[in-house]
Amino acid sequence: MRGKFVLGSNRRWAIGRVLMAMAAAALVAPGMLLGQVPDRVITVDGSVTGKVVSVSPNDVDIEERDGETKKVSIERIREVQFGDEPQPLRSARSMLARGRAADALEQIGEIEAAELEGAEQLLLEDFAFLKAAATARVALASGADPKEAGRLVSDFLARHPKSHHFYEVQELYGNLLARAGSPEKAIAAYSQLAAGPLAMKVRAAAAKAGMLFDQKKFEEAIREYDLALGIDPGGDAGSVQRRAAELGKARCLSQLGRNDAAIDLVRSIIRQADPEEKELLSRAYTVLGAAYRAAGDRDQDALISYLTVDLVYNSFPDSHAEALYNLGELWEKASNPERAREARKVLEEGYPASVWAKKKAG
Amino acid sequence: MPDVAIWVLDRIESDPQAAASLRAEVPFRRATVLVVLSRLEADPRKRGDLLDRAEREIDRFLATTPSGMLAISAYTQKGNLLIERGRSKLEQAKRPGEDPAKLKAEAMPSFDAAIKVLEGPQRKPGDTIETVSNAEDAVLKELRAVDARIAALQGDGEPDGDADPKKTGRKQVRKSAADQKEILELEERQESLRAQLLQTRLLVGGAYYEKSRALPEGSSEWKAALATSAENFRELYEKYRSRGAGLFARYYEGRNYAVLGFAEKNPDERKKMIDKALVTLSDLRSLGGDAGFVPVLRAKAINTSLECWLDAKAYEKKDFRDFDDLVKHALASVPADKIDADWLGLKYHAALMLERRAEAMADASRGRPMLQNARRLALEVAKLNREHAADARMLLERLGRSLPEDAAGSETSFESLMDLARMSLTKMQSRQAEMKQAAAANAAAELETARVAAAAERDKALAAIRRAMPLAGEEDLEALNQARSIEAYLLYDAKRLYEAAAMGGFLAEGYPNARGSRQSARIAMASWQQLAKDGPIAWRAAAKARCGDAAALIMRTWPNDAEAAEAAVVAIAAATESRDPKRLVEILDMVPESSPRRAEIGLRAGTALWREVLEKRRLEQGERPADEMLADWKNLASRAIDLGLAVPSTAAPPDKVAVAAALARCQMEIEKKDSDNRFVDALLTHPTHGPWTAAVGGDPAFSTGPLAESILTVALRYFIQSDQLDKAQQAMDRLEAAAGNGEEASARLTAMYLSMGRDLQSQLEALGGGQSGSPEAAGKAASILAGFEKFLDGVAKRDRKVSSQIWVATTYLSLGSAAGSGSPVPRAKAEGYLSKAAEAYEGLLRQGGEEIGKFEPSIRLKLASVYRELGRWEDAQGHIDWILSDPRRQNSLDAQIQAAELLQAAGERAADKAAAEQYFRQAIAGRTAGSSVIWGWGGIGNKLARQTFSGADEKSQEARSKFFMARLNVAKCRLMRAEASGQERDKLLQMAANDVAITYRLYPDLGGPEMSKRFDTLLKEIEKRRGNPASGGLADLQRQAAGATP
Repeated sequence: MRGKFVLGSNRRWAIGRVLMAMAAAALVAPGMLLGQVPDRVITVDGSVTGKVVSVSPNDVDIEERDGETKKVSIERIREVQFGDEPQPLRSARSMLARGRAADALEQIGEIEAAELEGAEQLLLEDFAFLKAAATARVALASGADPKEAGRLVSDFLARHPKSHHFYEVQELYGNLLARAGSPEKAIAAYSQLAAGPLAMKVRAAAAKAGMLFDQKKFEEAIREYDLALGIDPGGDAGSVQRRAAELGKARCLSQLGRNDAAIDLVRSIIRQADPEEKELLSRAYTVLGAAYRAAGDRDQDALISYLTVDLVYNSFPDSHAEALYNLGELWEKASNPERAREARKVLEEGYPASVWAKKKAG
Repeated sequence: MPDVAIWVLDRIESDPQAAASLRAEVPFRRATVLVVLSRLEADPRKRGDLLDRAEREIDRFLATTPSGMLAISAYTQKGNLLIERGRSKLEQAKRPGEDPAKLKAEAMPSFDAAIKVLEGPQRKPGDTIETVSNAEDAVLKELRAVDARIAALQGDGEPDGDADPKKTGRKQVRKSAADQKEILELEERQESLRAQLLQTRLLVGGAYYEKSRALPEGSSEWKAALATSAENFRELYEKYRSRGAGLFARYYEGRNYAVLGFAEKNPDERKKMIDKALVTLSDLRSLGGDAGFVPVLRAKAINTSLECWLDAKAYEKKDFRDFDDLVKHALASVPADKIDADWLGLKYHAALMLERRAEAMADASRGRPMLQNARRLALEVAKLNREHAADARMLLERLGRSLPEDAAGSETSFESLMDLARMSLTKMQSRQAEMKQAAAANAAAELETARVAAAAERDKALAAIRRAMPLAGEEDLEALNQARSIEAYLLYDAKRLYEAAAMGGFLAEGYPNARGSRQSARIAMASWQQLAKDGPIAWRAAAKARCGDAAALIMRTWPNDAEAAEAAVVAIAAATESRDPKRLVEILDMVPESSPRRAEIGLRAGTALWREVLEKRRLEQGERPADEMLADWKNLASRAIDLGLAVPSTAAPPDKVAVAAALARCQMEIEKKDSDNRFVDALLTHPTHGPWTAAVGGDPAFSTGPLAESILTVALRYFIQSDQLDKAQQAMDRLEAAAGNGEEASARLTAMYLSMGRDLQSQLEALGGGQSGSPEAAGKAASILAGFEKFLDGVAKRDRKVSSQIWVATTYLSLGSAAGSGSPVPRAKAEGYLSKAAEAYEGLLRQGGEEIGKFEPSIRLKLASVYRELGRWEDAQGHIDWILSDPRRQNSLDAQIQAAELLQAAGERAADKAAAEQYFRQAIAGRTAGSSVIWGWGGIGNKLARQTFSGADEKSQEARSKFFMARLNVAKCRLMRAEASGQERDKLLQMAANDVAITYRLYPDLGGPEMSKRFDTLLKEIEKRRGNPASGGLADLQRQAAGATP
């Protein structure tokens, strides 16, 4: 609990104590009176600024300028920023959100211990989250041993069971367990998400389906995705989760040779999405490219799909690396070895640790 | 309406009733109007005349009214006018080709006269001003009178009119209300006159400065003029240091010192003067706030100071503590309407200074942020293309060398990177203009240099855009889309067509309302168009379809724009190429009534749709669209063409599009059961778009080539069946002429006759109308056949030319082949025609000779075909064996295919199962008889496999298509052999299924969607016969393959 009148030893509230009397009269948050940068909860449809006063796995409470406290449910939250956080922490969070886990880790490394000295608990918690999540994502993306990442993630869950990152970390934990060959434990981790709001239920089912996909159990994965799609969480946040599940289903269809159905499904996701839903669309065009390739006679369409990732949705390393790998092959098919070399070069230089660069090298 | 004002003033001046005082003012008022008129006049000579007249009018006015408020305005007006005239000479002197010395000399009298009319003599406070002859005296005299009156009213002595009120204390005496009111009015006037005096003196200082510009730099006169100007400004600053005008005077004083310093040759004197300038400007550089004139004045002061520091090479001054603040001012964003020469100078000189300071630093890494700021500033100046732009561009080039691209990358903003991109784009376009000039001048070396430079700039622009895009924030969406649009354009320019198509398509679909989307859509369409022509062969057909999609998108999104009409034409071409009549119908539906090119689109789409009707009719039952659909398409095509032809063409007649459409319309009419010959005659011979008119008109575009051939074959057919035999003979002669005289002429002519025969077949089938042909239709068919028989028999008898005989034979072959379901040609008659064809071909063989010798293999191939139709297998096989007995001809793919087809057809028709089984086996595995070697479908497939997958050219594509056809027929013959075999049925069915599975495993695309469909149907049939009626066909194979993936 981050009580608004609890005066601790942290820097921010030490100043707050001096101003408390003045602020109370004007019903203005002390930080704002000082001209401090407010906290910001960025949601799927805007943002709320003020002071984050408490968090839980299901929601975040933020006290607004007028002194009112607003509760923002977890499925609507894209990001929580703290006004007094070090810049590298903010950058790391942004990079992690854009799928650049390795860069996020680099940013975290730039934060000096002194910068966090005396920082309040929420900020320290966020730091721990970013470190664990970025490490986990790097391990998952590179195919590295998930042990160290698993330790960080389970440590975070043990220490911060009330964090607003709880579900996200549970999902990551499940993914790491699945990667480590413990599907039962992974399912147990995903079931923690399923206990949350409806959008999390969708996510839990999709995560389980993702694990089945990795195990090449495509029919079973489709059943899980269908379960996820059977839940209607409502709202924008829910539709994001649903579209992600649809995309997963399309991947399975393609693996089962039902490429036309996969292509139709992805194209419908693309049609419904806002063109600036970059993360979703970077994955959608990658799945579309793969489905076209698997169809056998649609390499040209695949080329265009992967080029769309490369030209428009290139800020997500996983999708971009996959697109570049495929472009390397497709440009060869298009009798354009120069372009193929270019694509491979960008892959090697831009994402040397990715599975796609390793696949190419292998 | 200044000229009206002149007229009014003339009337007043000549009106004796007008007040004398008013009439006295007229010359000054007229001068004012003349100055306004001069500003509107573009011709410099006329402008000069107007200013001369204005000057004379002012002099006239001042001669009668030398003092007073209007006189002050008149003196000031005249001073301004003279300065303006002098300045314009100085500007003229800068132009290339002008004589600067002469023009500067001409400017001098204007400046001297301006000084004379503005500046008064030095006067002590008590001096009286008797005669007024300049602005300063005129103001001073008025001011003194006002001062005296105020003093009189206040009773506190005689103040000096030129004195600063703050330095002269006044006793306040109690006055009457009237006096107080007058004092208040006088004080207002006093204030206004003081401002006037200040302005006049600023003008005097300015006039001396301008005069210095007309003098040789460094000369004593030049120095004197600048020194006098500086002194004037210094005095003004001393008196009015708290006023804005005083601060401006201070700036001009400092500026003059700087100018004097820059021209000084003696280093010590130079340094002294530069330092003096910097000291003079120091207070102005640090002026705070952004109110009123402050930013402008500060910008001027910093700009001149930067010039001084640069001149003094004071890059590392230790006391440069305020330099960072100055850079902040330089980096500040200035609204476009506020940016002037001083702002641009400030930004450019700051950039230069930053560059020099960075260079002077021992630690290069510390200088990097300076270089980044320098680049940003230089870019800002360069892109505006005004003052200092050329220097800024040179600076940018230097910075480009010392500051690697990636060094700027991580810290640069979306906007600044886009500025870089736009700069490179501008340079690219100017290099492209140079390319055009070089090409026009046939200068190959210059052309290549410009081409390389343009490509380099394009690559730079692309690189900058790619770096910029990830930096765009949510609020930059409009700018981001613009960047995407520019990228699409650059990619297209770089011939990176797939990327251009991807980016252009993305923008057009995702953001149809964004600026640049329309252009991007066109780029996408044009890219696909080129890829359909020049892309990888195997992908061309799909590229054509994509081109059609892009065109349809344009038509849907911007239906009423010119782009939509252009897109419709492209879409029609794509739909025609991809043999897609449904798409053609959609296109016709999408074109709005108001489209400017609706008639043309109707003609194109109608013609294409009709062609599709003809082609689709020839398909086998099951693959052919329903008769109703074909009839609908035909009606739609007919309506579109009729509407199109009703609108006069904008192209000069004969217009190819209109002629081709008219020809299609003639064909439609000809094949109708109740065709109207008058309508066809009228259309064929229409003066502007009549196909026959065009073909006989002498224009080579219509007497040779594919369109001419189509016109003549249709005309020939029509003239025969409408019993216009003279014209038919003419058409035949023209057809021979159109075939030309070369070695290929006979083959071409044969192809034309074959084409006509096919059309005739189609026509007869259409008349047959399935099984329900009416007696009228049958009558018409009989009449057509009779007409042809008559004409062909006539030709066969009277014209012994090989080509004519071949035509007769070929046409009889076509008519005979038309027998079958739906044809109005009775089987007996058809057999008669085939016999006549055989007779004609055999006759040719009997005739022999060198010419016939050349055609013998193809005549025998035709004969094999005729005998196959007649079921005379042995005769057919005899000709095939003759052909394939010669090892040189055994590699003839056409002959081998026909041989395999013959064996397959013989198997299908054989009543005896053992014989059938034998034929099918031979059709698959081939046959050797004597020296004749037949490969069979299996052999054909094997021979083609290497060629099929060795390249992507058209030959390989054709081989690919034949390869899959051969593989399909292997499986098909195996299936039929299984049914004929009895004992080995199951094994053969298994083998047939394996044939398909192996082909699929090796070549999953199976030669494209159409062929895949045929393999799928066949596999399902095989599986059905094997007892698996629920088989999924190819989908099952696909699933098996996916499951086997490790």
